Amino acid sequence: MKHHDFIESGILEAYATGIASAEEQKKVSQILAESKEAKEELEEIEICLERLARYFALEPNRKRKSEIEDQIFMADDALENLSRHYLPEKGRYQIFQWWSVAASIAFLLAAGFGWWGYRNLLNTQESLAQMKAEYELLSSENLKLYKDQQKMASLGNYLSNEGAVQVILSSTKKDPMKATIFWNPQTHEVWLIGSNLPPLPEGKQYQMWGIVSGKPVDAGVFDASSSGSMLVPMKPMESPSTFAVTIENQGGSKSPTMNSMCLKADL
Amino acid sequence: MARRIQISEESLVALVASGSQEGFRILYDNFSAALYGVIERIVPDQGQAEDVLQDAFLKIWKNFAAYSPEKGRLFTWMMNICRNLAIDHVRSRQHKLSRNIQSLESFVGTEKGSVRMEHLDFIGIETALKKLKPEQLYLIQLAYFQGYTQEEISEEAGIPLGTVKTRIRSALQTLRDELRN
Repeated sequence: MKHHDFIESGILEAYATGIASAEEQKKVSQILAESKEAKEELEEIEICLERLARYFALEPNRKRKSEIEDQIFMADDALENLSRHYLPEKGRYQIFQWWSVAASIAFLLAAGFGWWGYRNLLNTQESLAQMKAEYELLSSENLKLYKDQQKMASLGNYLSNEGAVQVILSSTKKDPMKATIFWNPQTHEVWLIGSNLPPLPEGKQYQMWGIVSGKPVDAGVFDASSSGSMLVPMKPMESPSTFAVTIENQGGSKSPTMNSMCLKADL
Repeated sequence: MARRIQISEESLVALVASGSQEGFRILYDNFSAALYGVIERIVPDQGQAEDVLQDAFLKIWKNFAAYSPEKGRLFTWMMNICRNLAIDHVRSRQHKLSRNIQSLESFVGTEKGSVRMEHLDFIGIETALKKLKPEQLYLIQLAYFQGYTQEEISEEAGIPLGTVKTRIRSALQTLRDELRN
């Protein structure tokens, strides 16, 4: 009965009914951790109060349940459906990475804003700050971003309008090189959005290829980017079975130099 | 009438913590009416009270990791979230809490305001509530259903601040004794 006075003081009732001060709450937490007797007493008080609350229960409007449920689960579902849409068939494509999409959208927006800013030359401080905030928000790899409905909608719109699938080309050599592209099966557009390919000597360029019906089709040339991020529109590709990158002379070749192939992805 | 699934508090807590939609449904079905009853006593407008309930469930869901069984029962934790949101709602609209006091006594023995989900338990509570002195019931109401502070209870009920806790304890003791019989 070490805590007899404590229990008799009514502090547990105050705690359970919600009238305990912050100081009292702290004290109760302490005692609860060390006294089984206090814990049992509190539980009895709580059960009594819960029964009382149930006695005075009222049924809220039925539609509220589904409204709350939608609010909690809709954002998650939308995210799930969207990503399922882009999930690989039997692992043919790399699994869609949300952060990489966000990064590429951010890049796209930043590029767009940058261009717009350049065109307009003079912007108000305010809109610059807004651009900056938007860019920072989008480029942060924060999951909260995707749950934010507005951003979700713009991401979702972009992706569903574009209908692109992400393809990651990986190294055919020992070096851990890779490149990420978006390929849209409907519009056949190809966008190169990032690579860690090293810079090439003067007079050389990377060239992308799609293998269509067993034949290599030129998808365009590009240079390495020091930042790794890029947004390069490549030539459209109808239904490639494979994407590959070779090193060719400046301006590209008519057919790929097979022994210079550095990246590849089978669809 | 809401279906109530019998599930141990421990399993329910684990289910909800896992983010399961079924967990949400059980949580809602088991507790929404009791919680709404509390909110409605503080926020009498039905639409507003339901908005508070909605906010409360979102908050409960979002902050579920903050619930710890060490600190008490799940219902107590949820009830506190509901009551605090309800009080914030009312205070933000500059209502005076005292305006909304409804006597619990008026509910005892009447059908008004109660949805009888656990009939047997209800008869027991009704009998027990009738054993309470009106001022005891009033104290429980102020503390538990209205969310008054100890100072406000002291002022409202006209009892010294130092005895607020012991009076409430004795009221709840009476209730517990009656319910045990």
